[in-house]
Amino acid sequence: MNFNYKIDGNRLKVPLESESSRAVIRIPSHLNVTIHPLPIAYEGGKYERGNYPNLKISKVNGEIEVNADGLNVDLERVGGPVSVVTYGDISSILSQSSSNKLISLDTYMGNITVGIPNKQAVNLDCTAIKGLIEVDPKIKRSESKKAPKVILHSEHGEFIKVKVI
Amino acid sequence: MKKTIKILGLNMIGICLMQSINAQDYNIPFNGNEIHIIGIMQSLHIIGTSESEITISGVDDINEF
Repeated sequence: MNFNYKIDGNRLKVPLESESSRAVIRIPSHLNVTIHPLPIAYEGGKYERGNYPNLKISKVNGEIEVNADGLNVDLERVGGPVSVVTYGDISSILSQSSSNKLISLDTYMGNITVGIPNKQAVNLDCTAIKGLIEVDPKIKRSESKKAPKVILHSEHGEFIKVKVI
Repeated sequence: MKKTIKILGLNMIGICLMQSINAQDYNIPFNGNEIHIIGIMQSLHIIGTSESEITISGVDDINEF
């Protein structure tokens, strides 16, 4: 992929030449990331699973906020607080953490799959309005304020799965 | 100052960094605080690193994701 960039003040504009571009952005891991894509869903529109673009965030320790209506979101080894709202599927592998951070994963149409480290105790709150909830009995549950709070919500998805990794 | 990357759109993706950054790939001499990637994105992977700069690269290999 070639970048024909333009600098406009503090803003770098990078047009993509391909209509199906895949890109990787490497950032300092401590940065916070906020993602607010333009809406692509519309009332009465047909949701087609798998047709959404994929967003993957790896090894970021800052705060992550995704507020989208049309992304499949994959979080891998993220260490900070997380808030994801989307229509698509959400998958996440949590890092071991001793902080009381909040992890909130909310999808309107998609499924949620979460992997929690074996020794990690979490305060887990799952809601699947139309789907099934499957929580690995080996998950260590804790009501302690020191435990990470994990809130999972799927409105029309088929399932929420929480497993030990 | 809060250090935040902000992606503003699907077809027009803007990334705002609340700190000065360098975009090294393709020798982009940039020390601003906003990056907008304009185009239709099939997949975007944001990776945290120990480096202090930001780099942007296109990927042809789906295995990167």
